[in-house]
Amino acid sequence: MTTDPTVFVVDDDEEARVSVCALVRSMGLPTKDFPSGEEFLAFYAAYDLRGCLVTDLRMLGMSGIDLQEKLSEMGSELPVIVLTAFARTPLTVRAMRNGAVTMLDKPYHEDDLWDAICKALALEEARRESRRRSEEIRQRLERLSPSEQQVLDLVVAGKPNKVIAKRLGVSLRTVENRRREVFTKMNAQSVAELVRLVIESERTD
Amino acid sequence: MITEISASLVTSTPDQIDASTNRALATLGQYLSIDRIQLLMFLNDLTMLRCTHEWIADDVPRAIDRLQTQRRDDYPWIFQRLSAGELIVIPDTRELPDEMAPERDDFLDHAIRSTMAVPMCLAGRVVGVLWLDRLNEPFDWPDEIIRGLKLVGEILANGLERMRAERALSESRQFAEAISESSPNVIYVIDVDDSLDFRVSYINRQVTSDFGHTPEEMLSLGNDVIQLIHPEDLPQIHKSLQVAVSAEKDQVIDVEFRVAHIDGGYRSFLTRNRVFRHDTNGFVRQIIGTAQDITDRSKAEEALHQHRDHLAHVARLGALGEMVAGVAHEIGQPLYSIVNFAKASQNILLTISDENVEPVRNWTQHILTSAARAGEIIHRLRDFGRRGGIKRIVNDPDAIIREAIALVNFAARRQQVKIELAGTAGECPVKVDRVQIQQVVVNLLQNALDATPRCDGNEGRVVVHSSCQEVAYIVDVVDEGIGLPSADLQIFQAFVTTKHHGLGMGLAICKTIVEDHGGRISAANNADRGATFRFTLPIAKDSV
Repeated sequence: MTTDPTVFVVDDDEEARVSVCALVRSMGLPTKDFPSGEEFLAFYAAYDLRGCLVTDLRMLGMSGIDLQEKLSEMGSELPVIVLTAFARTPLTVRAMRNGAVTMLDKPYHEDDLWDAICKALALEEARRESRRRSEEIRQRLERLSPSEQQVLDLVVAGKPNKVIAKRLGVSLRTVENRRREVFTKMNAQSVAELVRLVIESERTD
Repeated sequence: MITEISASLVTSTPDQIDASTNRALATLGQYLSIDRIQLLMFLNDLTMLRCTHEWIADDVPRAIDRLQTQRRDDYPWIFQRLSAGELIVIPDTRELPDEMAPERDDFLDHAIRSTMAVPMCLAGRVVGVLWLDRLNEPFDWPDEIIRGLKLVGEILANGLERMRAERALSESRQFAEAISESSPNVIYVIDVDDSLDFRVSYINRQVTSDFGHTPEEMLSLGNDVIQLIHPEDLPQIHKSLQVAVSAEKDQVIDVEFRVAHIDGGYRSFLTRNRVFRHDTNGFVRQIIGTAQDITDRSKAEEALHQHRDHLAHVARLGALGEMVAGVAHEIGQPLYSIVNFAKASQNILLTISDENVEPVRNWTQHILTSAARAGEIIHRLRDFGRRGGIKRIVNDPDAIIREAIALVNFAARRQQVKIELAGTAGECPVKVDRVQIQQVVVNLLQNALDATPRCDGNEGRVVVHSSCQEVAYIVDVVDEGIGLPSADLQIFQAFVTTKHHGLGMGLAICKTIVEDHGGRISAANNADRGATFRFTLPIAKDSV
């Protein structure tokens, strides 16, 4: 089950947690908060979460970085904002190596946190969109017959029809027919677009 | 003749004695009409004779050079006789018996036909020989000559002995003086009188470089020499003198005191004193001592102390830094919540159009501004423990000062003090950390407010003035307050404060920040009232 885009807040300091929720809600977004990383993980396992995660670094039990690493291991693509009292270099390096994470010195400027959340949500949205699109392309590809698939591979490889006909041992006419079918099924107008679609489908594999 | 010789020898000084001796030998030789007369001295416990003086008649060869090392082993008979104090009289050397063949041949080889030797005695001890030769013909030495020569021998021996003693004395004096003068320390002899007054009776040349006075000047000071000593050190010196007068000979007393150098200023000396001479009543009369200039050592020790203090200070600051960083973190957490809640409130309030809500919306903005400032301070405080993280960019310093004044204005109004910005520098690029410089100005303004007395009705005044000079941007914070207590008080040092509940950190932090930026900070009382604090910042060379 997929949720609406939500900002998930993990912090063992209740005041801080509630304050982040208040800020996010005041901007019109739903939130859900958890007093520990462990509790968030339990929730995460049950749902396909949309949105982003804002977690404190230093907490009782699982740390913000531990939480982010665990999510990463579980294949999560949820953007994570880790809030630090101040960014200690080794931790920052460790977090950056994992990717998909923003280390943020606990901000005291009004817009910093909201900006970070907006960026994270935009990133998540873009990822979701690209995943959706590659899924769609993959579905189009699946509609191709095996012989059409062969023609597609050779067209994308830049081979002229004559060469394709010779390679596959079929008539030029047959190649032209299959080629037309490929363009129709893939909803492509040009060879260039076809190439782009194939690349996009491969990107998220 | 003997009287003449005797008088001449007695009155001669050590450097004249050789000439007098030679003259005595000449007088004798001429009087006796002999060819050669020599004075030989015993050496090495009577085992060797050396000729020291010789007189020769015209055309007679000198023998002194070959008579420098005559050994007893070579002339046993002669040595035996002479060392026993016996005369040797040989009227004709050719008639010497065969058992004396070596001596006989030796005499004849040198054409000595007749010879006589008279031992010279001093206090019953043989010290030398008067030796007389006649060449070419035998000679019967008359008895009166022999007797007279014995007397002359004694006179000569006495004269020579006196000379030797005097020479030894003068040599030992020269020796002592040479040692003393080659010493890198001042060496002196002090005479002490009954009333414990003292004067310098000897002092080496080193004194000239250490005290600036020549030895002659030191000696001529007499009892006034005490005036060269630092007044604070006098009681100690008197105490040491009291110890010294009852001290045993050779007892060593160390005293450290300061001596006025002729250039002005004092130099420190460590002196080591030894009682040298008591009078018959056992009273100390002379003290011999050395003085070593330890001014540099004293300075080094002083520097070490200061360094130690500084280290302790740094350690305290370090501990303080950690504490501050900890506190900053603790305060940071709730502040973060405040920012979020305030922003959330503001967001909600923006959706309500009601004129009653309008000011509240403004207030939330004030909350956010204040929180942001507190946040910056927390960031800085955190950096206090670990240096770095300071951003220096080219800034308009007047803007920084205006911001700082705005920050303090609220407190100023409450204390009925008006802060004026009188005259600004205008375009003056400085490369600074904005927050740090702001902190300096805020601290100085806060101090100015604290120094301004609270009197109802009358408004106090603090004037900030900035100017841009060739190489520096200068800020003056002028108050009309109570002023600085004393010029000596090191107000820029940590933990120094004049406030009842001051930490003594404000100005120390200002100084650190300003000096970190390559500037200077100073303070002075105004002519009429209050004080002026001034700090400078170097103007950025490559202002971008």
